[in-house]
Amino acid sequence: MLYYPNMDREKLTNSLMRAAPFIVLGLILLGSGLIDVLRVGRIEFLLFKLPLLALALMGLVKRPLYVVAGAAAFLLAAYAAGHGERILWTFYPIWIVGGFMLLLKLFLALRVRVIGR
Amino acid sequence: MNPYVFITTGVLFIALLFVHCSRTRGRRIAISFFSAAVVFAVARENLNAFLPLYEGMPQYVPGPGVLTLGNTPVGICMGWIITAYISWTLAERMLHRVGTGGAPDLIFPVVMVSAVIVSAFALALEATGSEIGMWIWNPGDVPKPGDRFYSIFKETPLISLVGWANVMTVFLFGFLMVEASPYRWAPWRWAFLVPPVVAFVMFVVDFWPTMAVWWGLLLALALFWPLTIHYPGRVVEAEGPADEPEPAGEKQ
Repeated sequence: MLYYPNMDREKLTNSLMRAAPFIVLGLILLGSGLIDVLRVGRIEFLLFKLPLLALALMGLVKRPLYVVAGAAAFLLAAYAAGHGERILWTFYPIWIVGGFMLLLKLFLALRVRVIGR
Repeated sequence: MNPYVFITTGVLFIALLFVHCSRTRGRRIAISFFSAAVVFAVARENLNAFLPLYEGMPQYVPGPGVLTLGNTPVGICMGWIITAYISWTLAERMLHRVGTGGAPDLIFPVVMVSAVIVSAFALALEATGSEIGMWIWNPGDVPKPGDRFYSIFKETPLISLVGWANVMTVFLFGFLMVEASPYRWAPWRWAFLVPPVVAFVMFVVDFWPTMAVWWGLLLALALFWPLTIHYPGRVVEAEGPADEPEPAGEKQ
């Protein structure tokens, strides 16, 4: 077995365990994407995986609403390219989650202002 | 495709997620979540076969050669359990990062966001699953443009995307209220299963109006009832050891 003097095995295991849902999600996306391309031969199915990928990214980055903004920019680019309507409907989970988060943020801010913490 | 590849992978994934749940939320929550999810997944998917259908409503049958449990492919049940757990975790993390000042630990926002994530899972995987023969939608009757349940998402009927989200709200609402709400020690906590069960049964009577009422109720609860999630066995280093016994009948 290889020996790395600076490796903290327990720390490594804990980090891997903490990331387990993301690892599984990544493997599911990768596996199904490979099936789409190599076995089914329908590359357009990869488009349906983008919303889930974006939602996973929202759980990883520091500011999830930036991902929503990125998706909105992508939508505008798609409209410019003539495929906007398809992207608009396919990305519905991002719009719903982003809208709900904004609404929640607004309500919690109002509640804190009116009632106090 | 060889069905055993999916089954083996699914078992490995579930084991990994179980360990994750046990470490982050405590053993008790892990055992209750995964056992409830297994029962719910098998019962719910099998129930589908006996539901009275609306006119033109899409229905699926297991593909040829797929391992089934009753009337449903085993892979779907396992997939639902994996999806449910990942969505729950992802929803919590997402709400943690959005800076909503307390929202990450609130029950109803987590229920709603995780339901949308489950729907995104369905969108990502339904068409692929259909193509490789895991299940077959509408054998002999494919909805056409203009039909009530026609979907623009290729092989994925719209009702599947909405239905998966609904099922997640029904399951997670009941689970979190009974197992992780401030009322979890109350003797009447099982009463929290009534609203989701009623909503679930009502979907059969008429889908869209019931869904609108149920999601409206959830939205109102998310915005106006800041009910906090408690994980009794959660490993929080600053607060000492996990699995502290809590006195019966305690109400927080």
